[in-house]
Amino acid sequence: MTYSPGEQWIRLLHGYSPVMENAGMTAEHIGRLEDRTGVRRLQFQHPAYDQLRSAILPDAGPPKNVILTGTAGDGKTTLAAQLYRDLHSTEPDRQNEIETIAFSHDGRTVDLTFIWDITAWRAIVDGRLAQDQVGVLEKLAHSVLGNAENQLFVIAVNDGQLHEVLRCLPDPPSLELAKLRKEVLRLHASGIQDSDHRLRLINLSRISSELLMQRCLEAVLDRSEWRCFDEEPSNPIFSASSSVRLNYRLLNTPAIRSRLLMLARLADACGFHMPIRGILCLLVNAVLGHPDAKGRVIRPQKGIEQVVAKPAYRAALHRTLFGEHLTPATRHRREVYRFLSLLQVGLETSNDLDELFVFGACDEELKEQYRSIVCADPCSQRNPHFEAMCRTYIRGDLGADEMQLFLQELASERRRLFLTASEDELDKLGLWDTTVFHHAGRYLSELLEPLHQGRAISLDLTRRIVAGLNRIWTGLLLADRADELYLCTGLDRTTATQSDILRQQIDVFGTDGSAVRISLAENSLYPQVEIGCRERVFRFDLTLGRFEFLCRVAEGAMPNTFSREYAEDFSMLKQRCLAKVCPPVRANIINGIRITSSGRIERVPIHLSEGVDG
Amino acid sequence: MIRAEINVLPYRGAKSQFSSWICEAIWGHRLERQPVSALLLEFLSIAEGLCRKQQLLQHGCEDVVYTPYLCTQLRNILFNNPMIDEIASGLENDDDAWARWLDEMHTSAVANRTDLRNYEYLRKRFESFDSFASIVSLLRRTAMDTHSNRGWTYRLLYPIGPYAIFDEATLKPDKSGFSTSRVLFTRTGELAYLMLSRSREEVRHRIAQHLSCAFDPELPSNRLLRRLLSTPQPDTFTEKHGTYLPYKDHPAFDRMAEDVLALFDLGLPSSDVFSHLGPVMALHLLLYQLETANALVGTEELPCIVCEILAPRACLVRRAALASITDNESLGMQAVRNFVCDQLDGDAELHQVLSRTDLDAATKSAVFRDRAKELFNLKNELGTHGVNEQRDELLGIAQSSYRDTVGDAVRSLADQCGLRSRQRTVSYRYCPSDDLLRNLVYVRVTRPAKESDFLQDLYHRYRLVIGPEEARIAGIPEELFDKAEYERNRERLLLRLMRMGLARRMSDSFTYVVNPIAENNGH
Repeated sequence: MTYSPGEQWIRLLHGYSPVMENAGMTAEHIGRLEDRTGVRRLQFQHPAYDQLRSAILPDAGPPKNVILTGTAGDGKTTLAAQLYRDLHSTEPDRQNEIETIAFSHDGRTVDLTFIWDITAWRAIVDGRLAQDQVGVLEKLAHSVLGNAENQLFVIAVNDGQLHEVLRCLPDPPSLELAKLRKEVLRLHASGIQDSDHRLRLINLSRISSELLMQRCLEAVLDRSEWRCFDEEPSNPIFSASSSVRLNYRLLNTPAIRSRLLMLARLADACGFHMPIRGILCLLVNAVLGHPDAKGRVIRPQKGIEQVVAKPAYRAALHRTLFGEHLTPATRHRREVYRFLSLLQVGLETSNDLDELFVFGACDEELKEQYRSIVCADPCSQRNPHFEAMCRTYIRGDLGADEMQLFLQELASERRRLFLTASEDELDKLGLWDTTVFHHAGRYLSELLEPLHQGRAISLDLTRRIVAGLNRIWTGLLLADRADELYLCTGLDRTTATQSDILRQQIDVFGTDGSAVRISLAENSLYPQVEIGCRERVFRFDLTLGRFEFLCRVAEGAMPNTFSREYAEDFSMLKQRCLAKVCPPVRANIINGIRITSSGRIERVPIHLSEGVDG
Repeated sequence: MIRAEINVLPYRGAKSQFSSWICEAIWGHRLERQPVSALLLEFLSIAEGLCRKQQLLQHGCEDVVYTPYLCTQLRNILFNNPMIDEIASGLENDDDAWARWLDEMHTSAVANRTDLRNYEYLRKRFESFDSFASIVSLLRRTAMDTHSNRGWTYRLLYPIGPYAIFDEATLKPDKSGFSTSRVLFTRTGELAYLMLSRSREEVRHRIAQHLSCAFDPELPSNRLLRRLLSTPQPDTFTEKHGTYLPYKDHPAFDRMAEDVLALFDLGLPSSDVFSHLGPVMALHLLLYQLETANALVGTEELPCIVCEILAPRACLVRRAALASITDNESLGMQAVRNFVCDQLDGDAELHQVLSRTDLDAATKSAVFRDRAKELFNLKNELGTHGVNEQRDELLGIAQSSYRDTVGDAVRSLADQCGLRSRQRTVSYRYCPSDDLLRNLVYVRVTRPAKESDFLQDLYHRYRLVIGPEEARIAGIPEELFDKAEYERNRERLLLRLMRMGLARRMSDSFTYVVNPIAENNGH
């Protein structure tokens, strides 16, 4: 079978799709496809490349050995291979799991050894690493500890395998190997990148998903191969009504690209890392996914014209992007879909929005809004039968199965709008309310955005966050905007449901080191809340989940009822905070509390001496 | 060797009050059901009493004698004072309020000494009746088990200071004072203390230092309690002694001590450590019971405890956890049988009499009856005739005694430490609660630990089987072993730990188990 250039491009892309059962073999599979199709694979400069290169070729100071860790599909091997190409101007052989090249730096010749993937390289016999491999690690240790100036290593390894190999060192290991093991484990467990020795541990899972999404979007959407839509319009896959064409068109709009970046930012905010392979899979599936195609992803093959001829809405972007057409098992295999399912986009109900969807077509007051927001559908994404379903629903004629279908379509409509709405509309229409994070919009625009731009966040938001903390940490209904943080405990436990002993009162906007600040550390993915009390400071990460919890509680939700998990999380944070900023003191007074009509706490001193209260 | 003769201490007290001396000889006097709050406070009560005598954790194998606090005034004010709120809110004139309240107390307060019925001193201690009432209300909120409907003399306070640690008491029939009772403080807490007192010296010493700080009368919360007393120290109760722990040495002693010390070393703020201490001690008492029973059954180690991490539906691990709890709960019964048989079979004199052919059955039966009574301190003589029947009757008595005391305690301890659950099943099985998992992380993890190391540690130390590797090493029967099922069980554990902020996932499902409290302290 011969393929047109456009079809070869689709064949290559298909290699990135979620159909691939063994994700670990994706790189090899893509390599074969590249040879067969003659189309260059998806490529971009890895955001961590500069960190890798500067370790091996530093501007100043001694070079460092590098261990690249990260989740499967993070591009460890690809990154190492890129360095190989840069230094050696040839493609790595990769037939051997270990390769050494020589390069010149600062007038010296340095031997640089690459271990492409430690899993494939290491051989464990009777629970111990093979002798020749121990020898290699001995050399690494020698180099790391500064005793071999002209020998460097770049090692790609998964986190689990890193521990496995270090566990299988000889017992007892040599002094240098023991030191190496201790240092590597220290860096790995604590998340520190640079050792005091000649070692850098780069964890690719700490690279921002947003940055990776940006690069992946460019790598997929900006390829010249997409000219196939203009050059091969008679091919059913690239025809005007094909879902591939419509989805590509929609995905390539600035609005949708920006929405995907926003989703990646949310992943970062939730502490959820999207590996490169997962993002590419997401994007390719969004364009090529189709519930009626073989393997549920379109590729040039016999009978594809019948699939493409079906109504495009069946493979609309808001369905394929969230993997609606994939089997639950396929979705579950990919972290990126697990993250999207965590967001629950479209699954939460919203009265105003649902009213618009269901009654918009017939309600005079809603008609205009309905026409401009719901009916706007330039890429044929909308289910044309949905309006009829709504009418049947209003009449109350839906059976149980039809009702189920109707609810699914309603959720799908919410997702469509969530994906296509402008940023203004997201807030105006309350589209965040259709996700599990009602306050995600505020998190992004009022918290992350100003902090990324080096601006302080609004006083009102700080007050609101502190109000949430006050309500959780005291168990009392206090003001929904707070100027003071109250660190209260019970007389018995710090985590008493009702904490009525005031241990510390911190002015939120204080100036003498006692204050509550929200800041974003360099290279950090989420902001930190910093509670300062004179010389002592307690910090905690303000992830999206925690922010949502604080906002909901500040609005009046009962902490334990809303989320037991987060209530316990904050309970532990309170314990840690008190241990850090309120050391035990031997005062003659303890402070009880009284709540004022404005929801503030006033001290009520309780004297401990046996005399009469003052 | 746990049961080696040289390791077993004699009981020096009188046994006349016991109906038999079987379970006591195996596990001590005694393991019995008690609420976790009572376990904690009984432990603290003996520790506090001995701290006052400068003998905290110094006894080793001698009988421990201590005098707990009774805290008559405090208890009357906090728990036998129903009118205080009504008086505080109803009467505007402060003098009237005091007069009415003192009048109430005059009639209702209970004390063994007349001077402790007088509450006039409080009037001088507080600016107003209202401020007094608000402090009473504040202290009442530290009461434990507020949902229970115990009588007021059995109400307990959270240990906010040494004066909050007092003995349980019962009202004399004429309500003229208090007399001793063993309803809540069943000696199990004292047994826990004795276990600690026989642990390694350096660990014991450090625990004693931590406890001494907690018993400092000058703690702010304790000074608040003192404001309610007429004397600088609360009144004491009857001297207590006679708790018996049979073994000089036992692996459970050091195991418990190390975990208790690890909890104290966390540096939790306020008195938070005590909310973890009770359940941790309950776990160790349970392990002590199991290990001792297993030693009598023939294996000197802990039996396996297969734990299901709550699964959404029935699975093989659940079946294994059910089988595991059934096996372990029956261990005690087997131990009791073995103990009785060993004692009888090892009695050379009895053996000689029973093997004589010149004696008739009635004589042998009489000898057996007398010997059994002596060996097992039976209060009632065996009623049956014929040696075999008597032997069966004796075993019946032993098993029944086990069921009512230690067997019941084992189930209760498993509940209190959070090891046993009936969630989603009809029968109980080992299914650790979030609190237990948190406590295990608190006591075993000081720096980020590899998940596999953590699971191995739980297996080697407590014989908790969660993951496939531990299940394999433990030799779980083939019909209850499926690697994939245990893999899912391990995965559920890690997910739960992550949700609780006690684990950090890296790549390829690699996870670190972390203890945020220890990290906070810069461990």
